[in-house]
Amino acid sequence: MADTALQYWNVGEDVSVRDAFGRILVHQAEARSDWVLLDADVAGGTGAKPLVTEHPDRVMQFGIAEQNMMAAAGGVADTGLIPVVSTFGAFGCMRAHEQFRTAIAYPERNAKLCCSHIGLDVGPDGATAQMLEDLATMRAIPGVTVVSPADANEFMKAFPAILDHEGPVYMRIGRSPTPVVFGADYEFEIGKATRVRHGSDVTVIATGVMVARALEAAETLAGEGVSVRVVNMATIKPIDVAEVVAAAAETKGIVTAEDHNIFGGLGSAVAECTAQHYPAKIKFVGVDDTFGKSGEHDELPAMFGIDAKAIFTACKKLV
Amino acid sequence: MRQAKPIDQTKIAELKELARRVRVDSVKMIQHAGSGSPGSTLSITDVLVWLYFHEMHIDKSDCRWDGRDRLVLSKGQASPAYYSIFAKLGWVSENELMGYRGFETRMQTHPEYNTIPAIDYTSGSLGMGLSATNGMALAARYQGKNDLRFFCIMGDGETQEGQVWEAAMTASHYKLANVVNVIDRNVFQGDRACADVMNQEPYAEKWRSFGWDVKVIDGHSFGDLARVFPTFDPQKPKLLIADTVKGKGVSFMEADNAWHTGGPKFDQAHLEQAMQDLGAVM
Repeated sequence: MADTALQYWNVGEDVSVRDAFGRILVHQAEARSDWVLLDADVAGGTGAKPLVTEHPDRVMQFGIAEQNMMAAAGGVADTGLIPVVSTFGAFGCMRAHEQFRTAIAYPERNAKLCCSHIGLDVGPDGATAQMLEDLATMRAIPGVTVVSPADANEFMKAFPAILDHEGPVYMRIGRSPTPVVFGADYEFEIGKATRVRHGSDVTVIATGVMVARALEAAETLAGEGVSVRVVNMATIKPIDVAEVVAAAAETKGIVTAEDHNIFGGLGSAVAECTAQHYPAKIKFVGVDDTFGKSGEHDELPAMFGIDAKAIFTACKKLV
Repeated sequence: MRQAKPIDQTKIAELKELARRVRVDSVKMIQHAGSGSPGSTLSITDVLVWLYFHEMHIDKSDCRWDGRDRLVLSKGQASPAYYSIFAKLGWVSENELMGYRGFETRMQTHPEYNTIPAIDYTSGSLGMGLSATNGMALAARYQGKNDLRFFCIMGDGETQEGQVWEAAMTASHYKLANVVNVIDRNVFQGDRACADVMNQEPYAEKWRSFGWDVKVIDGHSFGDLARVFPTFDPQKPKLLIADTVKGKGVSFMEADNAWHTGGPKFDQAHLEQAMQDLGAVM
């Protein structure tokens, strides 16, 4: 592996996760020949463009035909080659959802789906592109691993890990510049949550862009004497049960934070976990069962109640 | 790419007898299960027998042989014939066949990848198979496995699915000359005649305009099958329209699309009639 050549970003920098997608694709294309990218004419949008430019032999282009692409991925996987399917969330996780279920997940194919354009993070493209239901749709399919990295560096660590993981995986790709939380020495493991801030009063379990916002809220709350634990739940399924139980047992309550509908995503997964293993008080920070709107990625979170302030308010209700 | 193999009358007679036995198995399996898709199983039986016992390069001793030609049964409801052929090839036990559609069986109603090693693709959700076939061909090209061929079998009602045409574009765009798509044109679908449900004519012209080399044959004639394969354009994806009779070989099914499925009407008397039609003793 050519790991030494891989450049990570500095903690605190604002970086779009799709830049990490392009960088790690090129790196992994040079490191191993056992995978190909399947694109539906959106490499510029997903961040895969550098691979298309530098290693066009590693890309299978399907045009604007996602259902065809997804079922073809099932065929590609039949030969032992790993298909990395990449498109926008609405197309990969809904339009071609049945193809993913029947052609990939049900036969337990070793295929990966990486989707950009998820959450309000999409910004100006508006509601049709702002996929707020992907964690729900993908989590509902048996045997699918669902990953939602918090920043560009975590994405670069997670991508080789999902290639090495035998079986179907869905992973989110963020679009807007997001503060880098993890340093180059961070170690990613599928199914393992990371405690990014220690605290004893309340726990925020966050995923994706919400991790940086949770840290911001925790810092403000510290000024008011509230000690907040922040957990990065990068793997939504299978969820890290031990970490959720620890939050339920050791702090007064849990706030879940996700750029997703409050139904079916991280909050639901945490609630399913506590309900079965350690009942706890939970507040859900997420999009409250509605569709998105056009607007900048730094304007929409306040409008829809998924900014640091919303996390702050939810935490205050639990202490 | 692999070329068609020579064939003689003795071999054709063998294939006819195999097809008869596969039909007997299929009818017994469906009648035993109480339901299934006898009409569209019987219509595609001859083509499937031709492919597995003559046309395709396979290794009877190893159904997962890496050099095998692949087959995607996109019209997964024809699985009884598929399973019966597997039994004749020794890939499943003859004793398993009557488990079709039952509890704890590998003979699932639609072919499922993880049940029987000989199955290359999970099908049954109509319209996806050609996409997968293309995916296999593209992956083989990437891996430098240039001699393999990839067969897909679909129904003529199935091509009402839009995804089929996305896949038709893909095979043509990538000049997947090693992809052979067979359409079982038995002219009926679940409810009634395909043309009455959603007319697709001009059918062959549609495929031609999508860049495929189209040939039309009698899907029950091994002579036609023998003649047609060497005539395909070596540069294009191949579309074989097999004109067939839904329920072929069973008198009362050939005449009546109500036999699209079996159901309670498939009683002992009907079974006896079917066995008589197929020259089988009960």
